Amino acid sequence: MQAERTVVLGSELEGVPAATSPRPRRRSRRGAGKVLWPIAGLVFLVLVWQGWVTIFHVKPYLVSSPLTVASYLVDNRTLFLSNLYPTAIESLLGFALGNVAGILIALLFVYSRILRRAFYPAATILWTVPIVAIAPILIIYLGFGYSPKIAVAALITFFPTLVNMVAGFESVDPQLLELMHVLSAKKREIFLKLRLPSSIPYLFAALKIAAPGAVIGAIVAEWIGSTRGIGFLIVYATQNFQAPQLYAAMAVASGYALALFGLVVLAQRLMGRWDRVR
Amino acid sequence: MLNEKRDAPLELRRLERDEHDAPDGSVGIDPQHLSRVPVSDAAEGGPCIRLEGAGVHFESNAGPVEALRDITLDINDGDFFSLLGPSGCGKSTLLRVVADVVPLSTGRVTVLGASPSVARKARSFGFVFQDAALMPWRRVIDNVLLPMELAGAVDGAARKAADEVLELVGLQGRKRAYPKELSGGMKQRVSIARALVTKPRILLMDEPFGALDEITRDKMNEELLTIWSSTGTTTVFVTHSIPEAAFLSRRVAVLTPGPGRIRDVVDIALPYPRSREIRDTVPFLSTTSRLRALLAGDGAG
Ligand SMILES: Nc1ncnc2c1ncn2[C@@H]1O[C@H](COP(=O)(O)OP(=O)(O)O)[C@@H](O)[C@H]1O
Ligand SMILES: [Mg+2]
Repeated sequence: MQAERTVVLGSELEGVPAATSPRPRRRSRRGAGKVLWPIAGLVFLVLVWQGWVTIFHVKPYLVSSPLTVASYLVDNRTLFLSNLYPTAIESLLGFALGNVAGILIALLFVYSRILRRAFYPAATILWTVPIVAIAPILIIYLGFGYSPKIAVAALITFFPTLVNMVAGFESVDPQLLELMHVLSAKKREIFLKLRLPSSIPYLFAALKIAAPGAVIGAIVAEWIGSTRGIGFLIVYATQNFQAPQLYAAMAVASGYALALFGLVVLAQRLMGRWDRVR
Repeated sequence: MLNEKRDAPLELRRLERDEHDAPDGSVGIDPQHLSRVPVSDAAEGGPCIRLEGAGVHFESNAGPVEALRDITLDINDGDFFSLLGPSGCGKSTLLRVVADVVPLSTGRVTVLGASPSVARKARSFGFVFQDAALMPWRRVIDNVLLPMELAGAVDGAARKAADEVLELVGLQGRKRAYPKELSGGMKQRVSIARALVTKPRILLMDEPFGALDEITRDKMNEELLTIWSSTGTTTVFVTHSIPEAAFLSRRVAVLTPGPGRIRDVVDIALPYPRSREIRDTVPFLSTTSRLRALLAGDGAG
């Protein structure tokens, strides 16, 4: 029994989905394992980091230990909170803008062959231009306020969502499409009752990519030109050899991105019934 | 089958685009008036579906494909009619021609005295596919209600009709389940309920039990006959199983491939109601051996 359970947990860790769980009791244990193992892994890595810094006496201005970073973070929480605020605004608005644009243009592409032929390559080229090259242009053009950061965040989220949603709207079961036709469904009904629901899993896949992407976009834009925000803190800390501040800013940024990602996962859970797609 | 999956989207894209965008292009039928015209009224024995010299060509990457050639066929009102043949002989294509999914390249087809398109817009068809084709995000009851939604509002009468067909297929207890919680046989029952909920004049079934194990398949065959005798719906049934065709049908068209042609149409003289015991009787076995001989190309009789 003991050995058997270990095997199930182990296979979960390796990303092998357990095909069926015969008993609900085991399922709840696996649920706990889902949370516990990642936490154990993180704790282990942090301990290794702390041990490495302590044992080898790594210079504090090169690498800070987790303990130093944590205490720096707590001591300067208002600094980090007040700089998280602009980053949060920019990334959230960019996230919304980029995704809405991605979804709408995906719609155009799905319903118009010509628009798709004409502009899909252009969108792809836009995606391949390095964002650090686009960001300064946007800053020159849009100034030092929120807008260029929102634009960069939107730009980063736009393309993955576009690609995913084009695939999503086309991921329709051909037999269902045929059924809708035989049932004399109108175009609008085919969209609302078939294409849209079929695309939902793709939407969430896109949002999961977009959430951290938007945060990175906002930070990169701040990094290039701003006087506040997490990106600014990172530049400031680097230039002043403030290792604990740099590490703390990184922790805040990734914690925030993780929280956004978590919100997307939560939203997907709440829409549970769409999960039943395939 | 693979071909079908690959080719379908393009063809369907056309369907979706050409879709009548006229304000409700359908010949308005409201669910209350869907109850069938009694069979006797519709010119007893008169053809419900008629094909005359029908042929279908597809344009594929490898050049034109002739899927069907010179199909001439009458399917009578209230009949249980099967299309029997090996895969690739054009059975699905023939069904799609009737359902106004694939246009004819040559010849003529009439459904209920008009074109397939008119019949489709009058919501005359129920369609059942091999792999159930349920919407995984809808519960059983909502899958069954789909044709009702498309035909108009979902009102009390529609819900009552849905309850009735679910009872007919023995799934009234699983109304709230999602498709993935059901077995293959149950999914196919839902699919049949969905096809019957609007009381269509014609039920088109494309290898509906092809993915089921033999035991479930035999059971579903019996149930389908019960349903057919209680609704009297004209049924066109595609299969590549000889015993299945013999057990279910009043008439069987035997198709041969390359291009798909009708070899013969066989009357199955076994009396209804039929139960599974009939499969072991001499008349049944001689019927299946006749069909087998036709399929093998040994000439009629
Ligand atoms: N949309 C299509 N485009 C091109 N070829 C097709 C298409 N649909 C069917 N075919 C071809 O027509 C032939 C008959 O197909 P089908 O009607 O699916 O046969 P069956 O249902 O008897 O297995 C096959 O050779 C198939 O490859
Ligand atoms: Mg077929």
